Amino acid sequence: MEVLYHQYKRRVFGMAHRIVGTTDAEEVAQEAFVRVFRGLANFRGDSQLSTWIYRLTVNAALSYLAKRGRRQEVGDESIAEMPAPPTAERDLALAARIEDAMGRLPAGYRAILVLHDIEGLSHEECAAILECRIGTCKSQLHKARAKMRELLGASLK
Amino acid sequence: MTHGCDKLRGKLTAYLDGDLDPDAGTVVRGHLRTCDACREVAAAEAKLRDELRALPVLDPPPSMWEGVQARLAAAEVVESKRPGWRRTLDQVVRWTRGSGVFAPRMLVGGVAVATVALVVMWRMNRPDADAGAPTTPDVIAVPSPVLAPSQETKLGGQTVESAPFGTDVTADLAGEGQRIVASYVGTAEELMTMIGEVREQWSAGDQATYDREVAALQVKVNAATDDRTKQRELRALIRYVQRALVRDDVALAGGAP
Repeated sequence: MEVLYHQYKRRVFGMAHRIVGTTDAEEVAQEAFVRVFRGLANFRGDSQLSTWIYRLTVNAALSYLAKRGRRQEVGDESIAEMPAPPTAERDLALAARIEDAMGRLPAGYRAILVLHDIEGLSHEECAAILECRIGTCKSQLHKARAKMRELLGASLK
Repeated sequence: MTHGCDKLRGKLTAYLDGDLDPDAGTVVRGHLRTCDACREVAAAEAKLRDELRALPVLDPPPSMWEGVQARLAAAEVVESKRPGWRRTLDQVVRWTRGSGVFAPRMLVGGVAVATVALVVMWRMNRPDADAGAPTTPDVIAVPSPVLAPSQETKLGGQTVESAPFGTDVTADLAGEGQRIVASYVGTAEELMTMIGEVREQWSAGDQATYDREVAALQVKVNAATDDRTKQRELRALIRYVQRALVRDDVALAGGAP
């Protein structure tokens, strides 16, 4: 099991970190690995092992957010009306502003951005992980990027 | 913003990801050449995408593995105290959910309830009803190996004679059956690679037993002449390797925190 842990720890932790934030990332990643290890004997093998592990990670992160009831878990309309992130200042690196803006996205948008744009997975893999249609993935990604552009504003120019 | 701008921005993500066909891509490029506003949006989206891909890989804290082990041990202690019928019920529900065989949800629910009822009745009436859920055997059964001639597969650093079960099925993924077979093959190979990294800690007897069992299962995979049979035999192989991994973990794990 430790082999499997070391093979996937960075991606699992990275996904958890970018979906639930710094404070709770370790807890969520631990929970994801517990689900992986406890479910491994029942894993049917009809999807790739990595896809299954990422699915458990995303599910652990989203269910954690649902339980925690984060203030950021709001609808699209509210996002558009949010004030600019307080950390979006010129002296901060663009990467930090991007991480901050991601924290302001709805969790579903965050998940697809992490899987597709950060982890570099294909639409097919994202659809398998999120258990939705490929078209839904593409549509969510389009909306997520539009929200990111909106939140980042002039930072991207 | 014109109607043309609206249409273009709907396709921008697909265009930047290279998902548009050449004709549609040409239309997008043509519009971008003449529209400053859309060009600015496209540039911002491309920059966003590049920046997202360039975000650093995050290293987990060193304490994370200890936390995983502690949580796992605690969860297993709790699980071991649950009544046997609850574990059986969970297994049936999990199998029914994961099978994907029954499309309508009501049918799944009906079959699950009927199956649970049958299982519960069976468990109540059999002589060893208190034995609890099946666990990973301490000793792996050793069937007589029947090895395919002149083929070799690497298993945990050792060369074991067997047929390469993956080579003849990954070439053509046109059918769903073959896609699933290929997926099973990939999973089996990945799990066997993991075993290869931990088997050094096993006794020589366990290593030999594992190798013989895997070789025998691979022979069955190779002997399968249709996708369904091959999938069944691959599932058996995957289950065996998974159990070996779980057994390895149980052997190495400490007690509950």
